[in-house]
Amino acid sequence: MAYVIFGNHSSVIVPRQNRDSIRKFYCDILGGKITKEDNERDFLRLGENFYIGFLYEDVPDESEFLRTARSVWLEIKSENVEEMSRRILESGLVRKLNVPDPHLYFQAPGGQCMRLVGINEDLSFYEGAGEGPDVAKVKGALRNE
Amino acid sequence: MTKKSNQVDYFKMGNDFYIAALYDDTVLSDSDPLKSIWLEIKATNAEDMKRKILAFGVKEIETWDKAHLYFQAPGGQVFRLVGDGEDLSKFEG
Repeated sequence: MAYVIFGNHSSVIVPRQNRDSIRKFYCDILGGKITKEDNERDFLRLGENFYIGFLYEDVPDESEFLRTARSVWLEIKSENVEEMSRRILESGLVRKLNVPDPHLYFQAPGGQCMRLVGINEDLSFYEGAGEGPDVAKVKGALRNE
Repeated sequence: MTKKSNQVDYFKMGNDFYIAALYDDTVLSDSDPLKSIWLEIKATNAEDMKRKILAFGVKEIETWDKAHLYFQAPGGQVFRLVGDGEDLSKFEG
């Protein structure tokens, strides 16, 4: 039977004026590398093999929509969560999201929402084990963002 | 599916990728999900998978990349379908 797995390439169209803050955040704070750039786009690699293509256009800022969780939120992992949390928040480039969960949730430049976790952390809580997150509380918190 | 309830389902894709789908009554416009990040899925038999996906009835998205299927899955997420083992360096810079 045919099956699928997730690939390691993604892309998103973002407002042109966010380019500097996107580069500062994904490269200087998260440690990503720009593998290619031209007037209209940056290819950015996070970690060993995850790529994001940022396509710059004269489009409206969709941060408010992206915060609603009606679009997919991503998870990033760090070997040192405390240090990375501090770097992310002190960068002044993100909006911290008040999600009822022990992890840092934030909105990065360009609008993508993310959760920061530890590389070796037990994340079965988010995989269907046990009770899992309190969905009603999470939805309530999102409505206040 | 690793767990399901009225409010949330947990899906495991491949060996270690999880998606939690939270269900809600609000409605999105057709164009809203196009504004968010597009993801990629890989299939061992991309042609067969493409046929299955299209036969299911997803909305196909027209892009510059005619070599791959781009589509909007139920819930709105946009995916690109590629072959497992395919050279994808053109998406890496």
